[in-house]
Amino acid sequence: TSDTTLKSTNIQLKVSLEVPLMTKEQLYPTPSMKDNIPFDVEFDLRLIGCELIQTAGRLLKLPQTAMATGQVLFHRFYYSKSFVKNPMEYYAMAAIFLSTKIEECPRRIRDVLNVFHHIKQVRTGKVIKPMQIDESYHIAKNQVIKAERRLLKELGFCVHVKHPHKMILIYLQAMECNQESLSQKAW
Amino acid sequence: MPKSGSGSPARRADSHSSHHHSHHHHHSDLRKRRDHDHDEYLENKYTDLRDKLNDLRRPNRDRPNSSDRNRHHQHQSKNKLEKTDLKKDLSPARTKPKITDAEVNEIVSEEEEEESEHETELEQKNSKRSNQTAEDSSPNKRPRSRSNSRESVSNSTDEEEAQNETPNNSDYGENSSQKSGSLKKVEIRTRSVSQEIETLETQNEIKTEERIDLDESVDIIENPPEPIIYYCATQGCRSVEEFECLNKIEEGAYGVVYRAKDKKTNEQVALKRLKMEKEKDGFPITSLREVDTLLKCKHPNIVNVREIVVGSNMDKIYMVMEFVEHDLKSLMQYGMKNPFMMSEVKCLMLQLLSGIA
Repeated sequence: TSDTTLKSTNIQLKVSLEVPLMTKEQLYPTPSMKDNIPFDVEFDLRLIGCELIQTAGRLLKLPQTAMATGQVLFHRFYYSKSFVKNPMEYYAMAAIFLSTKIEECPRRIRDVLNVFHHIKQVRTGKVIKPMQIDESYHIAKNQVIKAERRLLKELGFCVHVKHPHKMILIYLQAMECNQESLSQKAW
Repeated sequence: MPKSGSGSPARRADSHSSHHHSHHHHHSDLRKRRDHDHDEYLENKYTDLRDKLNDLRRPNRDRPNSSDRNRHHQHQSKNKLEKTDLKKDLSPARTKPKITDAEVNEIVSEEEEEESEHETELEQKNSKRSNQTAEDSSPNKRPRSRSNSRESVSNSTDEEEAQNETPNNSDYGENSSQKSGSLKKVEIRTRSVSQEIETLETQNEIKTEERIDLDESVDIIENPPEPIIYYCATQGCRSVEEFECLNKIEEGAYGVVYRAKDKKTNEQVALKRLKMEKEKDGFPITSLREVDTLLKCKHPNIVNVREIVVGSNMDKIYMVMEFVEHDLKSLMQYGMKNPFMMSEVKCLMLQLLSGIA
């Protein structure tokens, strides 16, 4: 119906590439909440996802900006899609995989899968075994690639993230606070 | 909003008093406000002012011809200087995003002054009208208006004249008493005017100037229809179905380019499909770089990428670019009988270099 109104009134449609601030309506009943996931569960899922990204990034020896970008993309994605239809783990992998490309420190998809496999084993307390290259590996790989595409699509390819970390340091310098503990905390 | 002047004094008085109230309120805790609040406050102020001016303007438009019109035009030409001054005074309040407190205070006070003038004008009208209809609604406001007004007309006869004067300027030329007022004014004019009236008139001139000034800006704001803004970043890529493919243009190393039409806006665009065949490592980093840099490039000499659209199954990805009639290479290879002239080469080179720079 919105299409017809557009045609009839001849309203201009302007496509913006800016990343706008989210409105309250977009932020509060999140897509996951509409799928009956309670807020605290969603919060935990986001937390775990970001932790996964952080650990994986460290294991992959990525710069901190790559992890930060991955986490931002991960959060943004789940403000337009729900955790129910989009499994958290694959999207965490996709987010970090994509962010390595954005931050110009590319890693192979196999490395990412390997690292996540390792983390999973450590978390569940299993005996650590190398990942088997079998059918399930290929499935997982395709899932990650698909997730990456959907991530890009939902974010409209506006994936370049400006991080506040640099600003923190600049502000602290401007205010002449040279204590390392303070800047560490602010970071 | 009342269409003609008749039958609305009560409403006017109402709106007016509310304005007045807010005015006072703002004045008292002005100092406490922070920058952000200031901006908001100015915005409110401006809309208030605009509403009021709309109110004022309406009866003006109803009047087809009167002696005032001519006078009015004369003033307009005479007071060009004043007008530009006023513009300078008003514009920063609306456009400047960040203003220091002192500046804001200055601007606000200016606006207040100006507003108070309008208020007095309104009030004079009100009081005039209430005199006519014998509704005594305004006595509690009149003294305040006098204290507010810049025009320091002290004695009551002058005030009377002012009352006769203002309705003529922004008139409701319906009833006879006002006609008599205008007659009186003409008399006064022919009697080659006294000092006080002169000052009064200059005041009125300024008012009319301001009115015009702000009217114009109001028109500018209201005229263009608000475009619907689609944010790719939160709403996701649009589908390629939004475009109608017209024909293939060319095939390059990175992909195929089609000419297409936006179904909603009927604009011609170029769609470039990214080649994704060998994608064993997900979305190719080269394409990502290309998309990222082109989305960031905003330059008149660089072809603009508006957005990215995707095929139905996420299998195809297209860049939507502005459609350009020719490309230099094919033009040079096939399309030209004579080579470019020196001036054309210079122009092209300049564009090329400014695009790269």
